[in-house]
Amino acid sequence: METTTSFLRDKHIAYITSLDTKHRDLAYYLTEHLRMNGTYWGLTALCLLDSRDSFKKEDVVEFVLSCRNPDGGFGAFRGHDSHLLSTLSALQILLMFDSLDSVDGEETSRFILSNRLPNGAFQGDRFGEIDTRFVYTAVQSLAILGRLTQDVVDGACSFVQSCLNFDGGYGQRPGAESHSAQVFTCLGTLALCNKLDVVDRDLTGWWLAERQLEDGGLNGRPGKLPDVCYSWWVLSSLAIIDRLHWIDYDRLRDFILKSQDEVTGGISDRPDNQVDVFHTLFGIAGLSLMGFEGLQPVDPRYCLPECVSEKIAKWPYA
Amino acid sequence: MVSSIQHGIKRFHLSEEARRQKLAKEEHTIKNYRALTENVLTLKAQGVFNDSAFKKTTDILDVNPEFYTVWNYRRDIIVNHYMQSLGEEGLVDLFDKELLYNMAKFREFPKVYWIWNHRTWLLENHPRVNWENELLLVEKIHKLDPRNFHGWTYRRYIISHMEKDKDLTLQEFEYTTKMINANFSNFSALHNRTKLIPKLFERGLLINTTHAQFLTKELEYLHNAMYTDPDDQSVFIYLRWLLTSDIFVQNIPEEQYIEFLQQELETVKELNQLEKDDGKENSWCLQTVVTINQLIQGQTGEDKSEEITQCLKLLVDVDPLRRNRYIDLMKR
Repeated sequence: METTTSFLRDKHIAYITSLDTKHRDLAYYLTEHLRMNGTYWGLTALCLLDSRDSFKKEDVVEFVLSCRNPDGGFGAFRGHDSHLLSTLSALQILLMFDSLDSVDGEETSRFILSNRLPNGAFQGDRFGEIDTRFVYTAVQSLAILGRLTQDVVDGACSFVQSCLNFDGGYGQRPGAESHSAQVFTCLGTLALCNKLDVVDRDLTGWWLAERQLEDGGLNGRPGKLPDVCYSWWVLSSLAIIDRLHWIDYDRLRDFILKSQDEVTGGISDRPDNQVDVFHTLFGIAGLSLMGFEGLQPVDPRYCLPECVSEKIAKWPYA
Repeated sequence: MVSSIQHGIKRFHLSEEARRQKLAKEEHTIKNYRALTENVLTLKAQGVFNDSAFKKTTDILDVNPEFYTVWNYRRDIIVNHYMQSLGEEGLVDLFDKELLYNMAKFREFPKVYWIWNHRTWLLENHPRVNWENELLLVEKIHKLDPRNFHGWTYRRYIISHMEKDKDLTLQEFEYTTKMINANFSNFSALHNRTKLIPKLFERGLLINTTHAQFLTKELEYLHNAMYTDPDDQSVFIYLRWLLTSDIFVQNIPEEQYIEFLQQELETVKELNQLEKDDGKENSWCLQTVVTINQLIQGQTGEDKSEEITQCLKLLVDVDPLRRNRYIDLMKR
């Protein structure tokens, strides 16, 4: 295993900015359905590296707006259908580039609310997939637009709580096993809705802290392998309930740094694997939460730089 | 398949020459793929719903099964073309073929959400679903990966449909037993058990079995696993459920419940002693001793703080990754 210990800041910036130059790679085209999310992952990582302008604002904003559909939502790429996941990424990107005024909030929130179900949950799009991920994406999108309502907040929180398990974790939907990524989306929803008082912090914190393994990495469920993306899902969850210090920072930092690619930059799911922009963001965001490497502080509730999330109106509205 | 999210793929760096060759090799594929994509998205934008467009969606999904917009278009073609033109038998045939196509896709990509999503939609719209087949399919998926959570979610979904005719709780409980017997660390199966056991009682499916008898049996079952691998957190997390779940706490007479706690405390302490004799105290045993003592304290009012603090102090050394948690708990 490599024994990297230093943080490769410049290489990560170079890696992220190189992603949009791979026009001769098949993978560039095969990942169009994730381009909006990928742009959000890359831009957020750059912001945390204090290098936002490594992306050209006009190009990025133009791309985002080109993905807006007549239904008010955003697809992942030009001509792709609207989905709650790509809609949130689009709004986050516009917010980071101070360009939110270029979208009609009324129209976009109409798309989001069109996916709201009678039980307070949200489907990802008109085809009915139900998942606590979509509740979170809907709630954060509406929060960015300043359009949360009591009804949406109450329904979202009650659905999220119906996904709570005895171990303090949350699942994809009622009855589903606890999973760290779903814990993040559920605690994130409750935090955005100012409803964290329903959480048994010691119980949830216990389950989350037990995600750390001997190699320092965090896993998503009992008995699974560690993965750098859980540096975000688990850590942000712990931060939301004020239990961040319940895992060992130094060991996790080592695990993330060992997952860097010294040649190309970027961070992989675990040491010696292929890097990608998703794990690059979540590795960097994890390091930022723990206060390492002089990174810009990240807001655990939104996965946005604090200097960006502070612009979002907090519920309940004054 | 290359993706913006790569999991478990070994790192490699191509030499200049190898990269040149790769790009040259991909050039032709890119040209075809882009032309096909543009063609399909244009047809979609024009609202064309026909057989030829349907076949083109297959061509794209064969290259990129994560192209959600194309799955959407495919469903729109089914609704706006086939469901308008085919009779019931024709539709059954079409949906069956579509289920086979979908199955081939998730055998190759068992963790792609869009593929699972498509299958659920197919079942919602299929004129005559064979649910038994779907259950067999989940078993196959679980043979390959017993923890696949899409598979578990899908299984619960199928059961909820099948239960419109008859109660399947007992059958599902037995399925978890089968999975757990194959591997006790299967927390997905243990988790499902926590959802099924209350239903077994609520629906009166356990004849001549009291809550206490059931708990005794379940604890015995668990002790086997604890002694086999005392470092397996799945087992201890499940033990916590057994000792704290309302279904037992509220339905077993208080005195008997306290006896359960006392007995379990002894068992876990014994196991920890064995571990200690082997060289090291066991963090899960110590944590469980803390939990059980807290429960006894809550039930009887007996002061257990001395033993709790003693265990937490030990845990700070035994389980240093989580030392701050134990220190916090000591302050409470």
